[in-house]
Amino acid sequence: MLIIPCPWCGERDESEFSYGGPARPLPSLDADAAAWRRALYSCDNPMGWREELWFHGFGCRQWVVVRRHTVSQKIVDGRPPENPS
Amino acid sequence: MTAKSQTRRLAQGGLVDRTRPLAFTFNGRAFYGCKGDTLASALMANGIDVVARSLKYHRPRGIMTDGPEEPNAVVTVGEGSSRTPNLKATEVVLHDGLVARSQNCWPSVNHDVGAVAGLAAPLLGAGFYYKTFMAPRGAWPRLYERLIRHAAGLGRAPEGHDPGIYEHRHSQCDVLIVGAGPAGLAAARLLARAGLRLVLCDERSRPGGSLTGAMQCIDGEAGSAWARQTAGDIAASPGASVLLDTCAVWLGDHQLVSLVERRPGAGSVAERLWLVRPRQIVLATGAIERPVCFPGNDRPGIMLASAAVAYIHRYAVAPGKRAVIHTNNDSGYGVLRHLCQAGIDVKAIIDTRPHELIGEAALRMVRDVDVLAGHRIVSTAGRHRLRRIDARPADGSRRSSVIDADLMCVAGGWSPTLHLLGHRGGAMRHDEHDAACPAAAPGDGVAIAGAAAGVTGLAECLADGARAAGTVLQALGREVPVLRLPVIDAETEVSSGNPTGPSCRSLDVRQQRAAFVDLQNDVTAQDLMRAVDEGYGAIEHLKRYTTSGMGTDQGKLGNLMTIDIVAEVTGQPFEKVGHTTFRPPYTPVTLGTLVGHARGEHLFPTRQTPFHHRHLAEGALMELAGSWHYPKCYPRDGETLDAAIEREVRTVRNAVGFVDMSTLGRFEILGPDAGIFLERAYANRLSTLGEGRCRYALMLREDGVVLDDGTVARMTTDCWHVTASTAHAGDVWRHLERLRQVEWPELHVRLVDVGEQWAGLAIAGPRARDVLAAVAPELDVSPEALPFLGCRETAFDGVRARVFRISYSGELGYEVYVGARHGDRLWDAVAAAGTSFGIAPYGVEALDVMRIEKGHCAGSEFDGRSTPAELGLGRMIKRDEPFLGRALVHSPARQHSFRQRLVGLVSTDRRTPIPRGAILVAGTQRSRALGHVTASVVSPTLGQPIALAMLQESTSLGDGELRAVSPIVGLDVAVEIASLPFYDAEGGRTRA
Ligand SMILES: [Zn+2]
Repeated sequence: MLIIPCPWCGERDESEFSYGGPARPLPSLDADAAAWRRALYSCDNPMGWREELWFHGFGCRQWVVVRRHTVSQKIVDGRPPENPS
Repeated sequence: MTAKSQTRRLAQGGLVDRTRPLAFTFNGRAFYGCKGDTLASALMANGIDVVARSLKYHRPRGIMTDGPEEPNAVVTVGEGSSRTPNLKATEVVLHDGLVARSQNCWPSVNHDVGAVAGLAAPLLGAGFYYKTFMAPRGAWPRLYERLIRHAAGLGRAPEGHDPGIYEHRHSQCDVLIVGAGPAGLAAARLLARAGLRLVLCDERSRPGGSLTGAMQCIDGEAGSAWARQTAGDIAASPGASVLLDTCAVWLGDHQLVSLVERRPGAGSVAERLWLVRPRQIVLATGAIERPVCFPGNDRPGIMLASAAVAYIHRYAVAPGKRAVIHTNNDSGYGVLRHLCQAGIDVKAIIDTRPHELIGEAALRMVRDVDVLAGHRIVSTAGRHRLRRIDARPADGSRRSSVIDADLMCVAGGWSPTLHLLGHRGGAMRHDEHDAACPAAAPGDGVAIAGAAAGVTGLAECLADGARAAGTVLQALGREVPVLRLPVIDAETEVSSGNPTGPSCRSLDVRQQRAAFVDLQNDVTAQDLMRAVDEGYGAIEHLKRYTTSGMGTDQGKLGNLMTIDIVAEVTGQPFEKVGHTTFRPPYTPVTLGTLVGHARGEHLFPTRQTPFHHRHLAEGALMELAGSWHYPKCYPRDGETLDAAIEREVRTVRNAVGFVDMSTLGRFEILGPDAGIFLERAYANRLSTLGEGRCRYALMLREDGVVLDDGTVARMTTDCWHVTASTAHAGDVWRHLERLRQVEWPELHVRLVDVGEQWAGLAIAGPRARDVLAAVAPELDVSPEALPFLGCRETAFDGVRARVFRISYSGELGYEVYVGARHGDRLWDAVAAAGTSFGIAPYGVEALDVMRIEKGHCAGSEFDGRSTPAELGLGRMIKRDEPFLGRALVHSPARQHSFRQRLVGLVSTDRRTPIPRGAILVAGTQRSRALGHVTASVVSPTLGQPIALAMLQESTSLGDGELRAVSPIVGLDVAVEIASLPFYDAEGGRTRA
């Protein structure tokens, strides 16, 4: 079970969160089907650090962005989503 | 009498309490043991040699170890609902009245009919599951499955409800020390002195680990007494706790460690699962002795040398009368003195190494005993227990030494217990002496100490524990306190693990074909060789093909032998072969422990609506709908379920009824950009919605699949009130918040989850307007003032209320909402206002009947795969404005003809109900499904069975060919497609 650093609540247990996938900008609503298909179905699967979204549903009910290492499972740098890193 | 039966109990020594006899039964026979015994030691004290039969060949097996690595002595403990199968007798702490049975034998452990399987051994070799039970396919369920189930003797599950109480506890601490042996205690006493919050756990009932099974002296007292004293001191330190009978079974991510505390016969809690989150972990888990590979190595009476010593010193049991020691390293020689002390006649030491490789210190310990250097064991004999050993020189000469012995102590070197570390990925490698050691630094937050780190010798382990404690203190930024290391008595010997010299590498596998590698699964060296020949040489393949290491002991003894053999057969270096993955749990854990209190009504948290007590007062039959307690229907005296549902439907269709709507998801969308936000979030047009109006709305996922439906109401310019279906309320909230926070943060909009703030009732039926007029006298309820899909804010009995004219049932309908705490008053007012019309509450079943009659979609149609077009909702999708999911909802893959569409079904004979979940097929073409039934009822309104279904368009479907088949319930019903909705197609009743 992971410990996730919420920028609003501090370090909290994974059971309070739901996973939201990699943090990546979605195409604009006007973009064509090919762009959406690329964004949804052609995801990087890095061995190492990546940014991802978690929803702190049983806490502050905010979406947060964290960096997780996909091998060591280390999680760092919790931040609100509207502040791009 | 109690003492007399324990023929193997030594008169002196041991840590058992001879004054506290404990009665127990094994296979129906009554025995006595002592307080402090395990089931294994008590059986051994009573001279029981055969405790189990092996899995495949039903060979007699005895006790081989003294811990969780035991492959043989697997038993069932308890009876009826308290029965627990597959326990290792070496881990079962004896208590008064314990009832234990052997597994895997019939009719009895001493006379086993299955032993003839031993004669069929060639048929049961490597991969026999895959080879033997292949064809014919039809034989599987009838014959093969039954055969395998009968032969596979892994105990029987308990019957009925387990009365035991299982508990979960959470704990946070600075340091968790796993293992209270010399290294663990040395680390813990230093950490406790430094004032850290610590947890020290050990799987055994006594602290001390190897100290309790030997005769070492520390600080002038017996090792076991020193351990007890030290553990007591640690437990008395503030913030420290010592958990005995507590095994660490899983080392998870982010330092989460699961401990299982077994409390046999003690208090009300049977087992306890600890979820400990320490900042630092010290693994002082010790080492497990390895067996030696030779033909006939599975007879009762052959045991690990360290186990024999432990039975003598820990339990005061003589494991035999005439012994040989079989070793491939120096540690075996230390055993000699302990056997002699217990009055056991040691006949010989058989060492696989040539004389010149045997250590001088080892040889100095030998007095009056033959050492057969450079010898191998070629066979053993004895039906129910070892009787005779035939050893020959490894150089191939025929000179044979036949020795009469009933005990063989095997000492094959030591493997550090690194399974917990393996749960994190990394595990072991082997150093130049073939000693296993951690493959890499254990990573942040974990220190390894003592024999688990490959350290040998008592003094060295104590020092290494202190060193590990220093590492931990440093990592936590604390001072290392000054604490004198315990002093070891000079007499204290080398027996506690000394894996020097060659151990397994010079196997000469060809001579060892009949040796058992995995005793629990009956895998021989021959099986491994054959598997390699057949191309399963990769260690993970080999494991699955031969089942070596797949027993409940997870191959704690056999895995290294397996690697040795593969290395030799394939000519690869040991390192290249690698080892299989250590998976949690370290030892088997009962389901009760994992489940804890989360069973029955405590399985998950449940919710009640504001009308809960009114439902109960009305005699509702309640059921759980997701997490909600919700009325199924309200049966009256003498009424069947079906009759109640039918009455409720007729009441709504002919007069007026009311239903609890409080479980719906309910959100307020506020702010100047709320309209833009909703326009982007929903697939149909919403920004044109005027104040005081609502609209049915559809929400898509990014990929164009329907996420949910609901209503969107515009209360005022900047205040919108939207609903989500009960089942999807959480998903929709998360989705909307994600759009607001992550995707469109520039919009001036706020979302408020108001679901729990409102209590809502839907009033439906031809007389609904009359009821509403009485309940909300200030509201103009005329069709002109409040038309279909209108919404108003008004007052109810002095409090604020919201009224929406929407209908799910297909009748004239209103939904009325008041503050949650005014729910009871609203209920009473509605019930009173409708009395003269025969008003009645209705439940989820009537609601479902009416929505199917109207062809409305619900959860079983919104199944996470369906698109708007498939559900007949394609016309709702806006063409001009952008919205989430637009790009893909119009893509060819979402429109393709292989997709299905929502249809209505009636049974051809208008009488036979259509099975729910049935598969739709054309005629007798059973192999191709054209769709499935999503919802089905017998409609009281239409007087016939109706159903909703997802059906693929098919050219092969001829007239009158469609059938709904449900092989599970054995039904096959001819059905016809009917147009939707089934009821009031013009919608005149809704708009009245
Ligand atoms: Zn938070």
